[in-house]
Amino acid sequence: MIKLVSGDGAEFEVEEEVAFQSKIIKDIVADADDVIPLPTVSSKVLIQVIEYCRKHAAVNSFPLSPSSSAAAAASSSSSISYSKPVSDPALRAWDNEFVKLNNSSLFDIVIAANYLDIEELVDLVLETVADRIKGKQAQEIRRQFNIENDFTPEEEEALRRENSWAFQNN
Amino acid sequence: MGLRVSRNTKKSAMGLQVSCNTKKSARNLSVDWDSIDDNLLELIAKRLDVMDYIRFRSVCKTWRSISIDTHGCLIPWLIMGCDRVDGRLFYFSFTDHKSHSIAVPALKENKNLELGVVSCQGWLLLEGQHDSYAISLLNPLTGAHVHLPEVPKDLFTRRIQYNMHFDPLRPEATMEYVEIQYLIHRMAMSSNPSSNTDCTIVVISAVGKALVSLRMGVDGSSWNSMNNQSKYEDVAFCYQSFLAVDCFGEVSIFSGTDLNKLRTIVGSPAMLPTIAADWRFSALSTQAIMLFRKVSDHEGYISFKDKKLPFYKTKRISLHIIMGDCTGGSGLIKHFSVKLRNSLYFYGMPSPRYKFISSVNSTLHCCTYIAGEHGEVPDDDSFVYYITMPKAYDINDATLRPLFCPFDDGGGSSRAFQLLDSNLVDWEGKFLLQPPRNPRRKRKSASWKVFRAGKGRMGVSDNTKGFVLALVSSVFIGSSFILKKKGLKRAGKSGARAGVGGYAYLLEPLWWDGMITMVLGEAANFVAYVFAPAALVTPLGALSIICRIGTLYAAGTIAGKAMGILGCVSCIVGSVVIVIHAPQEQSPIASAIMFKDWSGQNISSIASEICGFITVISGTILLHSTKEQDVFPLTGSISWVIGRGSGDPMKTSMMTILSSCKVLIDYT
Repeated sequence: MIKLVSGDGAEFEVEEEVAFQSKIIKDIVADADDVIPLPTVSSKVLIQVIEYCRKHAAVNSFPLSPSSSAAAAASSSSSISYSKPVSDPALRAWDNEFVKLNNSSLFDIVIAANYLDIEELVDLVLETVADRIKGKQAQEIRRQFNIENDFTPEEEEALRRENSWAFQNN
Repeated sequence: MGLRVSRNTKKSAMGLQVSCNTKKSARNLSVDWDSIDDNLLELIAKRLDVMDYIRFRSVCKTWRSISIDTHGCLIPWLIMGCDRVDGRLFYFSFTDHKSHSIAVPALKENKNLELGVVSCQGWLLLEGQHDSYAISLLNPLTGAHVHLPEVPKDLFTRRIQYNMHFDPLRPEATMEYVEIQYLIHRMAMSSNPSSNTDCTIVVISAVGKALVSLRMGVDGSSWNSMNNQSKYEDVAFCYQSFLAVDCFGEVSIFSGTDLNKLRTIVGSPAMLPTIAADWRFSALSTQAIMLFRKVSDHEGYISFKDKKLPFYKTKRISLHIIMGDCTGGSGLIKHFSVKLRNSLYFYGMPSPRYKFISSVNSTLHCCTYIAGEHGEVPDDDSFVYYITMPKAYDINDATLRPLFCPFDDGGGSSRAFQLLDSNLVDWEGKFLLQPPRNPRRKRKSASWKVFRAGKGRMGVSDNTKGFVLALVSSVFIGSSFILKKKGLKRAGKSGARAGVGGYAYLLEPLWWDGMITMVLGEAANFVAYVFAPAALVTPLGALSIICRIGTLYAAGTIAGKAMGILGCVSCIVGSVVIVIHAPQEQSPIASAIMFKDWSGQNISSIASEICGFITVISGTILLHSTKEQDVFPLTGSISWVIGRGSGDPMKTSMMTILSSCKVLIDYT
């Protein structure tokens, strides 16, 4: 068991394989004790991150399902190292549910995940954010992500001229 | 959530959560995503296509400062062609799966130049037509148009290719051949040709496959022939070197600054060239070069209305990885072929070059390949035509995914987008999805939706064919026994019985009728295995017993028994259950092993199949027990077993059980 202490002083006890989803924690534990302070992560965010790690640790620890391992064996006649585990559709579905959050929650999670170096979670959140940006005009993106327009009207006009086609709805 | 929060801190955690919320709502009012780490913003930007990237950059100053130019990996466009009258370029976006167009005035102004078959780092190649050997590069986003020196006629010959094309907006029109002429087969650039005078361009000529280079801004910018010991298939720029792969799969590495200097050759010279050699660079780094080539498994035609579309189909991709320091010359070569779960369809003329585009995005997947896939696009008039959807192939889980990764040549592209690789642009895009000629209809159909190809739409499904064949074979085999038996009985009256060594039945035409019917039935049975999985065909073989019993009833030879009827019914019910739950499988070899089919199915369907099987077997046993006890001629049975064994070598345990059931019945 590893004890994680959030920025607001709450302590969370998690199993090693859950905590080790974070590469940073894995490194820290290797040469320190089992109580890890995470001053920049609030308990609310940490709860969500642990939830994610717990789910992924559980799935990743299972051996490959028979069908997927058969497919992997069939896919290559000679040896090749597989760098990533076979992604599980159920886990993907769970991930999709997990990221159904508002943008500021996603922001907090991605900051924490980046800090804790949980690559999969960072990818997942950024993918979600990119999906939310796609097909939207700059004004909509600003509204959605609470971003102030710091361009002067002249600069904005120049921007529009430069790539006018990107601002048409075709 | 199942979280273990220490009891002594739980209270404070709750309290702090409240303060956390207030803090968050306060932040909601302030700028939030503006302050995110640049690395993270960059990762977001990489997941956008160029259109979204332009908008992304106009959100705020921080976001504008995010440059992904050096990585050159945005989701590419599929160029579908252009309208020379309005000067519009049509493209297909993989992010929204719709076609769009952008205004490119240069296309209107330079009517003597046509789109070539190559693009590189976001620049489209334009070529002069007929007598003109003019070459230019066009960046459709900036509108930059760079005229290059004319290519020398002694080095370049125009390649003329006829490509099948039919116009989706004129379904009544017959398929026509479109002539495509091009000079340049592949291209690589060292840098942005508009801003950097040191830019070096290396091309492969369309005829002769020779490497020709152009150094811009020096010695009058003329095209020079390079070291040409082979016919080259692909060229790329990576880490200050030009790499060219030839038809043998050998990679020549040229110094980026001095093109006459051949640094090294890596690859496998033992690899024999094939007619369909189609080597492409797939992933490049200082550690490894990855090449791939498709292996054509099967070719044929897809019938569409009264037209026949030629296509190739494969489930295999051949990969060739050169590990180690590729510029150093020492490399370990790994060669392996990958079996795809989905078949790839290659549409077009039997030319080796039209299909694959290569790709890898080092930041996302280590090995991703993109291939053209055959699909269908129904439009408003429920007319169907064919579009080729590029897909990314992920080696990690052997699945095809929609295209995501563009070609990453590591060369530091100037504009942060990649147009899709040439060949696909040309062969599949330009001529299959040619934009409508009538401008008024153009807008209406500007958003073609793409659907995955459904197996059932290509005509009668293979399972149905197999099912019908299996039924036919059952009827033939079933009735053959009765015919033969009648023949034998008749022969028995006139001479010695077959059972005691007589051959009188050989003169009996009725016996021969039965024999021929049986041969036909067995042939149909064998062919059925080609179309439908064994799990479907084999149980249907049991129907032959029913047919036999049915014929016997009709002939009044045996009296009806309740158990016999029950046996018949259970045979039929079991067969129907199996037919309904039969797996969709096309490969006859894979389907021979029935258990393999089950890997892709869910539990209930497998259970249903097993139930069906048990029902069929019990029905067969019932029939057996109620059947008229009669000595059946041995010869007929033996020939049946032999025909069965040699006709279908891929017999499995399950099939053997059923067969032996049938043999048992035959002997009784």
